Amino acid sequence: MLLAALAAAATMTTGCAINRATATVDPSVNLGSLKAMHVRKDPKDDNGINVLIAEKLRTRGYNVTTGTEKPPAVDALVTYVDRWRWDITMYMLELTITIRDPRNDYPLASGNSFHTSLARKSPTEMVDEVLANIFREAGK
Amino acid sequence: MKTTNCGRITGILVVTAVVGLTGCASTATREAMSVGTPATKSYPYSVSVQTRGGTETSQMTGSTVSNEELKAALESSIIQSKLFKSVVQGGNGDYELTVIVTQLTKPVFGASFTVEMETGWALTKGSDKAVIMRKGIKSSHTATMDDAVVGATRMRMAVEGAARKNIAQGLQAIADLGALDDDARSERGRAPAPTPAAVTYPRTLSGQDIAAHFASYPSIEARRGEATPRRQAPFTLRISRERKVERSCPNCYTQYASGSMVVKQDDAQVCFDWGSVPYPASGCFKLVQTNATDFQLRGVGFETVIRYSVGP
Repeated sequence: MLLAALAAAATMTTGCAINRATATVDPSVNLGSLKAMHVRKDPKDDNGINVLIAEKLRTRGYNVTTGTEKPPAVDALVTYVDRWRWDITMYMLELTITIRDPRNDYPLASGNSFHTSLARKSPTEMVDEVLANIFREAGK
Repeated sequence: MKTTNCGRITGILVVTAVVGLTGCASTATREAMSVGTPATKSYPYSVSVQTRGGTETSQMTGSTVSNEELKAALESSIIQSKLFKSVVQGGNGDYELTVIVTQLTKPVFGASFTVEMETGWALTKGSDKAVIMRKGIKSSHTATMDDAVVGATRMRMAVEGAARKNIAQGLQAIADLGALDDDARSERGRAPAPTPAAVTYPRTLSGQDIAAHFASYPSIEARRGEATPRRQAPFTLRISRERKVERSCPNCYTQYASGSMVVKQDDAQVCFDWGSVPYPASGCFKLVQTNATDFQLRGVGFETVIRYSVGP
């Protein structure tokens, strides 16, 4: 019985935990030259992550709107993917934020944080960490 | 005592089984990510390749795509596809290709692993850093228990498949660029390609045009042009780079057939050999364009006309 359970676990899972924070910025892009951004709300997001991202970007001096509809003239479109897991309580496992060229969706900059349960962070902390990594990378 | 030993042996076997089956995550390899299909265009320039956003595989990250392996896979794919004349190191190429991995989404549990990958492809001119192309490329690949029983291996195969498809799409996007083509023409002292508006129909394609035409449209939905509608069984031609052709005809007695195709450039003809399969007929054809999207393969002997349309 034990053998069967362990064999099933071994074949159905990848076997290792993940915990990381990374960011990548196109070297030809100057994020400081952007003025107006729009955070496109993920229709499946019930946690207001778009609002957290918009608020954080405003503190960095950007003119930011958010919602499902994109305004006609923005310098960058911000998208995100959030993944959640249950371990006693729900927690955000992973957050990826991508700053895109609104004309062709080309990813100008992207950041990702992945924290498993024991190293979990609040959504606000995850947003802070991802954006801080993106702008730190852009400032290099 | 005997029970204790038995328990220990079972325990060792269990641990061995778990370690052996899950293994350690391994990085996606350049060989498995490389694309071998020849490109639809070949630019007479050198290119240098940079990759960013990749991560090293570790016990913590699981199977990932590293910058080094992705760069090697890209370089290998460019060389094999002949998309550019050569690949050079150190940013000294006529063009610079930068591929940034922005997202690699992997499941943590399941019998089938579907990995989604998003990258940003930027092609810039080496001389003045002018941006030729910026494009986001999304791809996904699913590896099942049929591919590998061990979870870590299955995950690596899913990652490699997503990367391979991503590279194929990115290279195709570069091949589809018109700017590089015009650039190449002006550098060879030739005028840019004439606009379609200058063409009069019907026009019989030259041998060179026939070769370029079939390179641009490797899959063609065609039908033989008999007057009797029920005899106009539609079929699909798929043309590989090695000039092998496959014919799929759901309403035919022989539904699938393969043959060979040769473009006789000097004679401005394309010749098909279907062996013993009678439909469509083996033989040589002239290619005539009747309007912007419609073409006819007109037999030089008694072969019946084959008609098809392509996208504008």
